[in-house]
Amino acid sequence: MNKACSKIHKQLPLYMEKQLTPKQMAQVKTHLSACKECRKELQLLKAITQKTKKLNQLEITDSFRASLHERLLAARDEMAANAVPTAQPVAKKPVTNTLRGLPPIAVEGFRRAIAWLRGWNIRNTLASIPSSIAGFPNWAKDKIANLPAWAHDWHTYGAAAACVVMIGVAVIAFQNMPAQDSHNPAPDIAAPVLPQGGQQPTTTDSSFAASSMDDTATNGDAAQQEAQSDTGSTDAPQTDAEALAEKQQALPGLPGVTQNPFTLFQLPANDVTPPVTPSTPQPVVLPPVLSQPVQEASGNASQKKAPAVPEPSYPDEVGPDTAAADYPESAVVTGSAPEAAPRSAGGSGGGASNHRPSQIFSAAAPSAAMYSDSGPKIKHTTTFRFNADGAATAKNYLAQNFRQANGGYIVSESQYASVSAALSAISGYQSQSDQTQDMTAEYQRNVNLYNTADENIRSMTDQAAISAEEQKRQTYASQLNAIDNAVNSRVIVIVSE
Amino acid sequence: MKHRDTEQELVQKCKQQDVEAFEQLITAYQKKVLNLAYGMLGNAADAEDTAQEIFIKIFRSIGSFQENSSLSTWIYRISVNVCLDELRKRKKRSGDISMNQQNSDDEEYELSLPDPSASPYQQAQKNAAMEELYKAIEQLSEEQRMAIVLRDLEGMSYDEIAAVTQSTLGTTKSRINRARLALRKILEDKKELFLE
Repeated sequence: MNKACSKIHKQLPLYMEKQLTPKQMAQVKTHLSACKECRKELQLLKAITQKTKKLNQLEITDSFRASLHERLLAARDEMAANAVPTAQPVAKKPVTNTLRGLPPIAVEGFRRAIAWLRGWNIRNTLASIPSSIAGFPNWAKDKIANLPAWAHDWHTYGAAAACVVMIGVAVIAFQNMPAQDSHNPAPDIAAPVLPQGGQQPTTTDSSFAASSMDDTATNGDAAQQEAQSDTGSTDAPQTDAEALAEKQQALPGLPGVTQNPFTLFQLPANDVTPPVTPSTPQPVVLPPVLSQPVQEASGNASQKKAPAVPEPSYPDEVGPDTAAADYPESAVVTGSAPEAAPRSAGGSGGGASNHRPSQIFSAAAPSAAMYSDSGPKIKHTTTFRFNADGAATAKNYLAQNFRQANGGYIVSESQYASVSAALSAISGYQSQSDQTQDMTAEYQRNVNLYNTADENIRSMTDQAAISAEEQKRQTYASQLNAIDNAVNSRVIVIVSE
Repeated sequence: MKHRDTEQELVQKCKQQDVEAFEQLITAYQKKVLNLAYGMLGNAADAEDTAQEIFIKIFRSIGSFQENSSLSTWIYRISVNVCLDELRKRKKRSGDISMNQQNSDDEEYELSLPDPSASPYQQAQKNAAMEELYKAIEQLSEEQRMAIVLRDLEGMSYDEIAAVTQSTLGTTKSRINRARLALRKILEDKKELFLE
């Protein structure tokens, strides 16, 4: 093979497929017409290529399709499970949103300050000084008059910035002030007796007490707020913890869950909530085992009450059964009727105003430490679960014999065994559990999951992701409802030392 | 145009993880991808596994398909990459005797001596020429094999191959040219089979 043939051979594949330049094509063609060896080589290349194109091909089989289908479904499920919400930048909130949660007076003050700063001009302000202050030097007058426009602007912006900073500092300081709700002056009833120098228990100290389910209005409900405002004069002062918890409690748009079933375990053991004396006792057939221990328990309970502590008065107090008639079953079952808010549906203006606005959610278990310094101490609490009828029976039994506080019924340690036996003997009894293992944590977990899903939905743009997240949110909502319903049929017994 | 619209609609559905739409979308590509894998890997069973792997990968990543290129190019690009990855993995696993050789034209090609008992081509082909051809293709380097498979088995144009391999047209031409010359060289002793 000569050098020319070697060169042509290298070009033959491209020549075969007409991928050479016209000039090269012509050169190869000319060479091929004169060279038998190269024509044979071209023929071989064509034959190989033809054979290659005719190589057997696989066909798609049904098993291939079925297997692929399964794998695709698995991949889809996996993708759905591992879907990470694509966080989209959320639109910047207006300043009014940022100020949400501040006292209205602070928000209004801030708005006015901004409005004033917008219309303020240091040039005019400085110009007015010489005429209003005697002895203002003329050189200063001239200086001010001759200040360039940019200097005026600079001073204006600087002064405005300084004012904004000062207002911000004031707002922050206002927020951090000790709780002193000017809108809800202290009622004539004493605030809950606090164990440690009047300090309110924090949300972390609180928690387990069953809800005052009478507070059925949804958060954010205008009528609810109005009702609260109407009865605000008799509300106990709202603590920081309460305010914080009320913020935390907000579950916007939570379908079906009207109220967090857990409230602040607010009162200490020496709480002097008056013993419940039903005005129209319902006939309750107690199990035989109750008779003796109940009497004993009642006596012990009264002894336990510390006479030194002034008993708070409830000006518009209503009996528990009245409350029971007005409020959902849960309010009675959970023992919160005496301190239940009459801001429930249909009761906005209606009578009792002795409730404590302590609808606070906290997943923390009650802490014995919060009662460590004074009064009887809480040893433990136990939740007794019943069906609806059983809960009513248990409630009546406990209400007639024990005082209610903190969403439960206070019994002494010596009484507990007999009370427990009595409650367990009531028809409709289902189970009992230590409060610390109650559903509070599960409820909080679902609240968090719900809120996370809610936030995710707001930040998503992808429709499929939104649908998936919406499904999750509905699941969490139904779980919350389930817990809510379960809480409605429980009775809490608080055992003090 | 209507087909294009339909394809776009299917792509949009696939981005919502619609399996049915995806299966509809890949109907036209299933056989091509399977045979691309077959040509690259040389084994029917491996080809099926790899083809499924390719489609799963496409399904997972179709959300990121920007539609800047055609769907077929995008699918082939993924297919080629998965096959190349599989070949590299296989090379590491099997410890094939492999060496790169310089031919007389300073063109590098890979000489691979696979286990004859594992060669699918021997089982699949009765025709001697075909069998030799399979063996020869198997001895090509990955890039050359890819070039031959895309051009001859898949019937793609030079431009399409360039798009799939993200190469220039010149590189693509050169690559195919070298692949054919390498194949021709490997089959030197068997050329009678092809000239009959």
